[in-house]
Amino acid sequence: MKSANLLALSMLILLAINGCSTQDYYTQVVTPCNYLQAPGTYTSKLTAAGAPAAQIRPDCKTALEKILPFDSSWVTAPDGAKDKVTEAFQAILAYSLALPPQDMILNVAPYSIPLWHLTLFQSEETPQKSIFNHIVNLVQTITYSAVVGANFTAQYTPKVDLGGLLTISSLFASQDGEYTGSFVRAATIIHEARHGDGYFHSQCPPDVANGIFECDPELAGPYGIEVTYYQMLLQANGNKTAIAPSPLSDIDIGQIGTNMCANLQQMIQLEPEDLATLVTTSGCQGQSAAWFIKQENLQR
Amino acid sequence: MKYYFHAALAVLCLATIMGSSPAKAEPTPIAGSEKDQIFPTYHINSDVEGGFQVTYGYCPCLRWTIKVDLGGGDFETRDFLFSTDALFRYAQTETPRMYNSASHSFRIGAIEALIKGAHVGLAFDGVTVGEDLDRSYSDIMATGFEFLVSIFRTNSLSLTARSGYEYEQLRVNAGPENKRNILSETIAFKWKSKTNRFNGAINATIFADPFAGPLGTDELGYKGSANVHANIVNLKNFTLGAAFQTSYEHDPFRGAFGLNPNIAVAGIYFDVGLQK
Repeated sequence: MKSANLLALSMLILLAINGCSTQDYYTQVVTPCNYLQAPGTYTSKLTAAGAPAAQIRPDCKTALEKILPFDSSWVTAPDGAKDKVTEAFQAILAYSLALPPQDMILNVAPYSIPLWHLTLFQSEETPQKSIFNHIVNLVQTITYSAVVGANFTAQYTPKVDLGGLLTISSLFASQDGEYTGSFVRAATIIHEARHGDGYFHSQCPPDVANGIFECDPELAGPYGIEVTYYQMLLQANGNKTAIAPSPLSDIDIGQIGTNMCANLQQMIQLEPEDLATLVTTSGCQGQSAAWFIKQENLQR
Repeated sequence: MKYYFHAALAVLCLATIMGSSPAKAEPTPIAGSEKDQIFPTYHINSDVEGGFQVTYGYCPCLRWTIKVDLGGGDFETRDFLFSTDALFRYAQTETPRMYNSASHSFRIGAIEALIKGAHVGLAFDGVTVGEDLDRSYSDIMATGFEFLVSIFRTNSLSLTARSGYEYEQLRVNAGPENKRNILSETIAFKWKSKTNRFNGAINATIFADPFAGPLGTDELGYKGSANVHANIVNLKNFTLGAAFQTSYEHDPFRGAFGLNPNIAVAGIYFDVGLQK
């Protein structure tokens, strides 16, 4: 019976490991943080001092900083840089998200949103709660890195102890000269957390990013989950109704569409045929907000 | 849904433990059987395997794996050999932090029978149900059978040709149901050392769904796999082993959905087995 005991022990260990549970951080912070920024603001641009202005409310900031695992490196970060990370997490939980009919992207290619993304965004009562809890559970440390010469805004590194290290660079807070809504940084955080699912990048073709390992083979990867997030953001917030304004301005929609198309055109190697054709023939990466509004049938 | 699978896994584990009690039955000698062997003979084994794997092509991913095999083994008479690697198999892959199951599947009833004198046989693939997020497949149900020709077979080596039919239904990205009728040709090579310390296998398959439309070279799929396995501890009724396994698959079906048709997997696995 010794062998049976050993087998039983090994299986119990496997079951114990297998049963890892997640914590509900969303509920701890949703009350002070469930608000939206004014649509279409430019206040995320660089200020005269070089650091972006913080838009996060003090009570939300306090609540989020209690659950976000910032390490001591942030004392070296410029003013406001840490707030931009907190603001991104606030955007993840505050902006409503909804799947489009037949899970289409840019209103083409039915059922093209990957099963992985559907699962991640539908694991709890709302997509916002699902993805917020998923990310915060995956990140054990958020550290700051003053980037010199390198070109990354954020990166996720799995650690030996099964923790996840989210490194935020100085470029995350101050993306030079670009309009950057908080939902754009939110998409970056969601991208990095997808690496926490064990999904890494594959090699780009020679004409993209110099052929480095920075691309995704399919929509299911980190660049694809940015596309899914943007699509759900447009679906839930892109329409103006008689009783409520759209939380997104035309500028926001143009920015979201441009970012979606940049990922689809350059960073994701294979897509459903309808979507690939639309992206390559429309030149959607350079299109205006009006084009995306029409393509998505948004009521403005 | 995940807890349902955990519960099922726990039941399987319990069944394995209960099945590990000392053997009560003994092989029954048959008078006048082949000169060096007494028939029928049988071996039963159950196995729990855990490990990690890297995948590439469709998903540049790192995954933990767990597999529980129950009721594996063989039953051999003077004229027939019945064998299975597991009558009941549960397999699951997990993300590195184990918050999400990337795939899980149950397979039940896989068995093959070989007519020793004629060197031919039949195999039933069993029925597999499950979900594979990395491949974007859900509601998977697959079954099939194969006609076998044993090209040669000794105590340590075997080479078998297999012609198969597989029925598979699944949803891609939770879309409409797809049904596939796959015909395949496989060549399978197996070997094991005399002391049973080492064993391995190499398989190569071409397959296609000729019922889906005109069949050209672009519609032809292929897959190959190789593995080596060592029993680090090799007692009479208990083994502790390690294996390296690699496989590659090209499935043109995936291309129609904008999915990468190339699936490469390499992994290192450790297993605990009970035999009698």
